[in-house]
Amino acid sequence: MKYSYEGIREYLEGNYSVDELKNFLEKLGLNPIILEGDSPGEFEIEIPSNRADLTSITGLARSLLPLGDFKFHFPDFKIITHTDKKLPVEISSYEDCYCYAGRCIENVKVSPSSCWLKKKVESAGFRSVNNVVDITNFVFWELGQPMHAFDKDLINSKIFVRRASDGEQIVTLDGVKRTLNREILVIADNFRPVAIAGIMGGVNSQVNEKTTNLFLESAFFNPAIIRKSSKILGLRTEASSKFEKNIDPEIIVTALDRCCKLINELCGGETGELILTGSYKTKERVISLGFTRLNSYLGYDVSVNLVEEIFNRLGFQTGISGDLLNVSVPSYRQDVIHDVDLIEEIAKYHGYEKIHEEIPVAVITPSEDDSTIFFINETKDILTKLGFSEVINLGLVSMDEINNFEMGNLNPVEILNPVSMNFSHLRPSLVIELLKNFQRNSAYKNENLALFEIGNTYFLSDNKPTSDMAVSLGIMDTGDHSGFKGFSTFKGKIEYFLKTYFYPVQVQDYVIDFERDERNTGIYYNIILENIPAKEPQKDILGFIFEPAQSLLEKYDLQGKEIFISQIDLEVLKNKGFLKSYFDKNKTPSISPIRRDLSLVVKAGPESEWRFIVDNLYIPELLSAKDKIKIFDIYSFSAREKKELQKKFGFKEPVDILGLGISIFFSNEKGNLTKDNIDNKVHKIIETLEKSGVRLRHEQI
Amino acid sequence: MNNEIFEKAEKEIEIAQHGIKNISDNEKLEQWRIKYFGRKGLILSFTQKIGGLPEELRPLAGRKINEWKNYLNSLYENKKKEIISSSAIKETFHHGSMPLYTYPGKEPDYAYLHPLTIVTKNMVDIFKKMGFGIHTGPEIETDYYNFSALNTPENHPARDMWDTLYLDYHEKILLRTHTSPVQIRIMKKIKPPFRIIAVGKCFRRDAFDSSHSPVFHQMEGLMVGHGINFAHLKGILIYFLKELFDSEIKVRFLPAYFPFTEPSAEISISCVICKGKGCSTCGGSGWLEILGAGMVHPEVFGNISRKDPAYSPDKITGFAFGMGIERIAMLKYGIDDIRHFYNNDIRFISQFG
Ligand SMILES: [Zn+2]
Repeated sequence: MKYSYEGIREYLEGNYSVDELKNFLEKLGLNPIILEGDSPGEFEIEIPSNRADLTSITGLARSLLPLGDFKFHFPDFKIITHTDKKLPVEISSYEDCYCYAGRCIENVKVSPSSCWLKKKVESAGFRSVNNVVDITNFVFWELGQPMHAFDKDLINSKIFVRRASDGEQIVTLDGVKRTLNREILVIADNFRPVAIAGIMGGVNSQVNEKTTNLFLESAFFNPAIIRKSSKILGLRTEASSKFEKNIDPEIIVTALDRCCKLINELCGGETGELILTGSYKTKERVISLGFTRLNSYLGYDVSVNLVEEIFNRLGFQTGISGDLLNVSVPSYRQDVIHDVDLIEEIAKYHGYEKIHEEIPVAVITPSEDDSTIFFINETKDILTKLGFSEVINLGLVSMDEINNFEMGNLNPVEILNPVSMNFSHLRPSLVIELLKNFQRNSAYKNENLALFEIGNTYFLSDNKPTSDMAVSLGIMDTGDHSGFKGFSTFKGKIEYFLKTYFYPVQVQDYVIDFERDERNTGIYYNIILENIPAKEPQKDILGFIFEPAQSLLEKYDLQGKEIFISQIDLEVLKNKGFLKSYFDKNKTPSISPIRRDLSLVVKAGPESEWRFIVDNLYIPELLSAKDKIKIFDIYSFSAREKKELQKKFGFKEPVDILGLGISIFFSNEKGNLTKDNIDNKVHKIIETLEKSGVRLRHEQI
Repeated sequence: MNNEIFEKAEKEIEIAQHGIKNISDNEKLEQWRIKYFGRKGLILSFTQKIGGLPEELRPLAGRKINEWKNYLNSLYENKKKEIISSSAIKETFHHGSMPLYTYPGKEPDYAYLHPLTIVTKNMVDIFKKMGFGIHTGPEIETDYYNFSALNTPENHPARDMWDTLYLDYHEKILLRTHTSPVQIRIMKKIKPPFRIIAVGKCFRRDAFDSSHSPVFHQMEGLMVGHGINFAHLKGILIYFLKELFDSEIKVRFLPAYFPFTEPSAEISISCVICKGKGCSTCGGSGWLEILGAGMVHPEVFGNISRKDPAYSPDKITGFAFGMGIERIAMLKYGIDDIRHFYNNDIRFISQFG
């Protein structure tokens, strides 16, 4: 909305400068922006969508009242009716239209606006049309109620507020013929729609220079219906965006009367009686706010007087009973619903800067992390060490680009309302954009590149849009053009990369295989992971290495370059790689020490006490000097766990307990330790521990 | 006969001495070594013969063998050194007139992380220090998580704040417009108290120009517990911003509107370019908007507490915040065009590692 210092001064009397006014607005979070070409003191304010009240000059002026010693001038006038002329109004559903008010004015003189009025409406951002239309816009700007003036003689005897029927048509004031449907609310006469309710009038009932009799409308429509209608029609107007928000229902008649009064004064004519269908009166809303809650919410104590003064100046009635502040909310503040809304008003007018800062000291166990993040970071580290630099792409591609690659049945996900056709689909593969990255870099003469990206690929699975995390690696080389050296170097890096995930298990369990699949756009070498020890040898396709054909490279101005791009499914790596199977339960890997973890419960005490217990396990029949015990975790239990464990293990109530995680590494230099050997030893260790009062919570093999 | 053996051996030694003189490469030297020290070589075969000598000659033979062994060995070692030094200097350490060892070594290829990854890591590290856990959420979301559960029901005018890209109108599947849906997903998964952050890609129906992008990254934060208040929100965020930028910056909190927080705040820092004097980056105001935040709206808790009473808005409070990672990276590094992040020009990417 456009406002000016001069404009506000007419309604808010007081001693303040342009800069001070800007500071007031800033303090309320309204961030006035000075537009280029505007004179000083003119500015634009972006009104938050919940604050319909600020979209009028009186509403804005009122919101400034707590900030200084001001006098508020609300328009003061008295409506005079001259005739009892009425137009019957029928509302088909009060769900759609809560209240409809109108007045007829006869024998007016429609003419261009006077200088004063023209300047007023233009500075508010409206185009001056004629004196009647300009007055309706002026009242909209002043009181926030959208108004509409009809040529009464063009309306056939009655006003209906009803839904349009499917296929019904109207030419709106912008000259566009619009086809309506049942979702759209219209104002109609006996035969046809004469306006789209709350959005725009129709040409068929438009006020023109020949108009002498007027019908003025001031109504309160269901905001959701106006929003929906406006979306269906693709038509947003000042009026519709106002009606979408909650307007002040109680201003309807005041605004209508103000409008009629001004028309009367400036265009002549005789004003008819008030026509009112539905009710504009709202129920009194009282919200209670506890001072204890207020202070604990903001983190500091606010004085009762200050709070009451803020609300009273804003036009809220207040009362105090005990700890409670009871606030009666005026109808123009439809946004104030919860006690936190009151808290915000207090914080805002008192100033956010007055709230002190504090680092919360609440005892909170560090919150758990999602392992995906660590997995991704780990992978990024491996790849940079292998010489690949990271790129990040939008992930939005066109269907043409997808088709360039012949990747088989990918079922790409289409964006239904794309911002441009270049970004019409979500990428089904990371390769598409990586090749573009090479294209761009090559144009910049950045040669010999190794790049990678980690991100989602998207596809339809069972017709549902789905995403899958993947990594793409690519190299671009000026190359020796034999093709082979580049391929083997790249393949070697891919293998090395994959082994970092599978090596810890035992390389011989997994075989990474490549299968060649030649297509018109290039050769795909599918990367197959075979898990040999599984009963049924398991094959997983991890991804592929793609060698683009020259014809494809030409499309990207990359002819003659040696390029290989690989894509690997990270979900498979994450689920099958070392994170999952570092320790295979049914196998004892040879030579390397064998680890067993025990989770113990011990009496809480000085460290020396339980460390001693663990050290005592180094006795000949249990552990040799080559075996090792490591304490890897010490933790305390929640109150609930503590109770349970004390009960389970028969610890007497006052004894405090601690959790201890230990790892035992059995030396296996000769490679002859069997699972039974170890089970036996572990069993003895547990026995020994239990003798010294330690309890086993669980064992992890 | 006994003397014959010694004489024959002495002669062999003499031949060896001559033989080695003409050797100039390692291969021939190795053949020479095998001839005298190998399994069938002179030294071993002579040693084997000691056993057949009369008792009184055996000590002498032992001494002789040692003598010959040491002599041959010294010949071998000297020759080896000679070959190494000559060939090395000639072939390895000289290339034209410049000794090769003075040439620059071949460095491995340097590789760089993307600046958005680096900035994200900086930001995450600060929150990790304050005990925040890190989480993720899906990019493809439903209307429920992206809007309704965040107190932005259908036909709510606030929806205009986020221009949404849709994938399925009927099932109401969309690309998340912010990371805030992670708030709902987390609260459905874990119990308060907790403090978490979430990072990820977000999508909006925006043009791709110097200050807009249809894709961008956000960091979301959420802290929920008993007695969490606005002062805590200020404390955490001021600490974060001072750590991230500079302890000298000023931080300003002003009222704002988000449907899922109340009170809501928009947080600015004093311009890092002009130090608050006013420049083109800050539009002359001296301030840079950097964060949106607020106290979690009771309606948001209410949506969760219907199934999990631990989230009853009478029992707990919390704050949430969100910020654009591109925006922070642009201010931190003085980048003036958001498209740089997605052009992936290696000359740009390599400036931040
Ligand atoms: Zn600046």
